[in-house]
Amino acid sequence: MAVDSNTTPTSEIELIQQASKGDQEAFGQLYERYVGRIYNYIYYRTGNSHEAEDLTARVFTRAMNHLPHYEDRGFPFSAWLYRIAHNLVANWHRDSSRREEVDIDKAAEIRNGDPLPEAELVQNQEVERLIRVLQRFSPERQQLVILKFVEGLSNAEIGQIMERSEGAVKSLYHRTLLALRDELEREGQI
Amino acid sequence: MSRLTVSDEELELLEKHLAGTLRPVNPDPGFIGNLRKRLYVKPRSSPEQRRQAGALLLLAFGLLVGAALVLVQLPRVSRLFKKASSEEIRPGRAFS
Repeated sequence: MAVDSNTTPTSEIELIQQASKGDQEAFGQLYERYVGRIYNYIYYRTGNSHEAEDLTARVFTRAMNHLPHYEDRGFPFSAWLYRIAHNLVANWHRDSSRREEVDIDKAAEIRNGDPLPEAELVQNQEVERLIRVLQRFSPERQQLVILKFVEGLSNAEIGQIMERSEGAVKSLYHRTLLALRDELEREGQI
Repeated sequence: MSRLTVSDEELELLEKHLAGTLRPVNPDPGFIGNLRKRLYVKPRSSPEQRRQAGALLLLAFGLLVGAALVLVQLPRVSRLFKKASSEEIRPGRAFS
């Protein structure tokens, strides 16, 4: 999943301009293009599918309402959406009353209605443990790991989202990997 | 405190572990569809539409105020008409 706005800049800019004038069809195309990525980002930040749905809905509602004030500063549109998502997740974490989490495997069972096959259950437990370890890290480090591994973005693309230089992202990534290895070793996960 | 010496192989293994675990998930299609409806059903007006709606509102307000003024003044106007018509008739009677 790469930031594809760089490959189709004109059409994306046109879509944003049309959507900011109230064109629902244009906003719909932007929604279809990014809803999956934003959902994934929030899902791995919260570790909870219900919260991910709620916060994803809020991201797109906020984006729709603020689109007339959107300024093209040379960054991809996705960077703007990720920043909205990042701020909403930060608020969500601050609100301690909403931190009662549903385990990922349980959430998956609720979604499908049936218990998961054993292999999938093990995978889900591994994801859950990793998310718990990640949540001990700063929001910036969590964001970096998710954008890198879940979204598959390059350091340059992550830099645009995080408003940092490519070099700064590379350095933060290296430090995050070292810290993550220590934490995972302590947990006996690797 | 992290270990100071880490081999590239060790970090590559960790990256592989992360890549294998943190895989993209598919959101519930029902959620995607419902959110799409919620976002699209809500009518959004363009600046042009908002200007037109504002002009229509102003026109409607003007008509309403005008109608109210006419209604308020109607009894007075009818009284004036009656008075004027009675004054037109009175001199005729005086000469007869």
